[in-house]
Amino acid sequence: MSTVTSADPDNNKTQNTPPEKIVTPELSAQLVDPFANVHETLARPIESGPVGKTVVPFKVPVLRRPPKGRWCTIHPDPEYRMVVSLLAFDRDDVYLLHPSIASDLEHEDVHRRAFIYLGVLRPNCAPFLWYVPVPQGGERDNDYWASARTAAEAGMQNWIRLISDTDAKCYHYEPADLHVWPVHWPDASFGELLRRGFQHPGRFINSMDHQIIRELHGQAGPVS
Amino acid sequence: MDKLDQFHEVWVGDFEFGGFDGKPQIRCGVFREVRSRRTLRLWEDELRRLPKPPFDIGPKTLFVAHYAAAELNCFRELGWQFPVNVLDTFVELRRLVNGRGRASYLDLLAHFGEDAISAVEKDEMRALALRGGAYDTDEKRRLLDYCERDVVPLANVLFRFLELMRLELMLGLDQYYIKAISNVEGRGIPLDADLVGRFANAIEDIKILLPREIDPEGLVFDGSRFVEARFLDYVTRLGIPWPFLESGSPDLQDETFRQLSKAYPRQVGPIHETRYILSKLKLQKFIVCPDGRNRCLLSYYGTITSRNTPSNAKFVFGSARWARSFIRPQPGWAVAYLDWAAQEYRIAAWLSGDSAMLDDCRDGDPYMNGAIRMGLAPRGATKHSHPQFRSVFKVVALASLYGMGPITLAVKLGTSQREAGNLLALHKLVYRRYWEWSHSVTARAWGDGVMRSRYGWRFTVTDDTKHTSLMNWHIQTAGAEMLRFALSLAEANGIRVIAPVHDAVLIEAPAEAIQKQAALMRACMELASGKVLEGCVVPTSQEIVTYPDRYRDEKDREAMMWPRMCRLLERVEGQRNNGRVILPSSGNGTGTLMMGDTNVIP
Repeated sequence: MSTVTSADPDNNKTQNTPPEKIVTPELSAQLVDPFANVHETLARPIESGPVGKTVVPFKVPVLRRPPKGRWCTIHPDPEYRMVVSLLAFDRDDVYLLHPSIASDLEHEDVHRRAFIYLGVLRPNCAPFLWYVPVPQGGERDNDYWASARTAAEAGMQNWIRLISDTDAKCYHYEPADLHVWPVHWPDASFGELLRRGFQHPGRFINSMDHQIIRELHGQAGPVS
Repeated sequence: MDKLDQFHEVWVGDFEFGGFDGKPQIRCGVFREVRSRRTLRLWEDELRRLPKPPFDIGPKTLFVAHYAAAELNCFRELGWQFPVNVLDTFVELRRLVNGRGRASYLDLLAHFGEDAISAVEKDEMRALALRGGAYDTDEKRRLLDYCERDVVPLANVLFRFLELMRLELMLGLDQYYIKAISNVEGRGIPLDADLVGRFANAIEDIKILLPREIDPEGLVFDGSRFVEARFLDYVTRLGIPWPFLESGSPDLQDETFRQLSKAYPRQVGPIHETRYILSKLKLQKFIVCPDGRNRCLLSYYGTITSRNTPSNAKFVFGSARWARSFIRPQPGWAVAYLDWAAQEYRIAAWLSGDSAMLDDCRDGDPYMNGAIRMGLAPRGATKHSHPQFRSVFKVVALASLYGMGPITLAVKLGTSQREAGNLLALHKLVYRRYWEWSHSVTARAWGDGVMRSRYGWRFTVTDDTKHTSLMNWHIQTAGAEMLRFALSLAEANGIRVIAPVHDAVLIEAPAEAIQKQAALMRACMELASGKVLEGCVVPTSQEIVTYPDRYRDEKDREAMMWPRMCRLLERVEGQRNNGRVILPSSGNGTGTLMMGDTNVIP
């Protein structure tokens, strides 16, 4: 039966050597190398990746900004952007207001006027809706909003990436000057895409009786 | 058919087997020639009567299988030579779908629209194959039918699949590694099997005693129970900046413990190891074959960077660090652990062309050179005179390769987030070219939707891809390619590799030959690094262990779990023999855990 005490593990007579290169011409000559010419024959790039397709997405994400590091481009057609009214409880918790009730909620702290742009993200041309607040009711513009709008404008000409500068409290954008990737816009009207961004997930408010409005006004209980 | 014109015959094959990984108990095999559709169905006794495979395996024949190493294990078990040309459709499918899909046999058939056996029926047939014992005529027929149903669809999809393959990569490169891995799986790692068995029998009792062994004063544990409040007091008293979650609770995840064990091996290491042993260690899952060797599937090309993914529970190098001391050469033999020095850092330097990083790697210790360059250590400092600064730089340098932010880096270093942020900012300033390269490579990947390595591995970028995965991908993949070259060269040169371990290799040889074999293996590793880095050679180091000594993991030397576990084993066995209750040892009254006793029982 082997004993636990058969060898002091800390007094192992192991032979350690520091890192070093040890190949000598003699040793190298001994080696059998089946890959002698592999650099010339095998080291090269292979077929490129998937190509984006035109699809009508079931849902379209609504984002305060494009995801960090991701290339995006913005639809240049004015039909694919507009100013809207939103209730923005958090950066990812936004509701689109129907114009008929927007003015009734302008006084709310969570009310925001915003540009909404249609963009697509590399690598798969996934569509998204980018909302950028605009000053309302005499409010001062801020550098984050202004720089985001500038970046969106630039994105209509080129693929860009948005970079946040927390010291300067603004965004910069990086254009993809050297790479031109194909753009595949979703095959749907802007209205349809807004519906898929807000209505399908239940984030479109067209009545003052909406549950969110009732909660905002502190009215108890859900609508029966 | 163009790609196959060079072959007179193309055979698709599959075995059904039970038994240990690496040592299959064969039930049957089915082989089909793709063009003629000639099919051979052979039960075990018929296979064993054949001195060689029932088809040609010379240079004019191609053998095709899905996860070919498993079939090659059966070839070896039958005493057959390996085919000259092997095409593994698992590897090819992994290459194709890496980053966006799985590569099982059913996935392969689904990808090409072929009908497959249902998962339920597949499980039933697998269970029949694993059962063993005597098989009646009907069971034999069912297994052979099932095996044939694995072979025929693969033959059907092969031509369509070929259009997507770079066959020259498989035949010129990958098949050597597949054959090497099959042989490594077959050899296994020598263990002190008797000791493994003794620990497996005693582990539940050890788990009761262990917390009291390392923490006799109850500073962290209450019996076997880890007490969060006590632990917080403990780390606070020692001045260890333990991270907290957003909820305000301390971060007690395994990864956090793992990181801080490295930063505080003596204070936190034993607690981490104890928690692991109490909650996860299952020595019973270790596969120790009758010949006393640990064998398991090494699962090649398993990660997105093409590294192996053996089971942590079954592979001795996947288990707790102290358990690696079960590794002991057989009498008259020795093992050698050989690793590349600072492999990832050197790869990053070469790929990026950063002159400062390349300079760090030119002479001496890259991490020490980098620590001096960043002003963390004085000029002339060495890893012996200033080990702590070398350690800090190494953590920062590797964190940069992985895209780690200041929050996680602070945890790893055991320092403040501000300090961690400063170090990262300084690294970006000093190694500007590396960061520019990393930025451009990842930017290109997001745009192209794919990353490609020098030797044909690829990764599809999707919306779900993490940015940090991209930052690290090229470096890890180059490391994996280096290891594959090294193992393939080792096989070609008759070296007995018994385990690949990330950036290292374990070999064995008779004691009198180990020095020469270690030198030859290191030459293979240097040659391999030159092939991946176009002539740039990564130096290697070696550690040789000769019987009756046993292997010791470097990090466990600090945590000292192995001597502690041995002491507990003796106590448990003594208790069982004498029928007495053994009281736990009393504390040393210093308010610290019992670290590294001077009277350690070897």
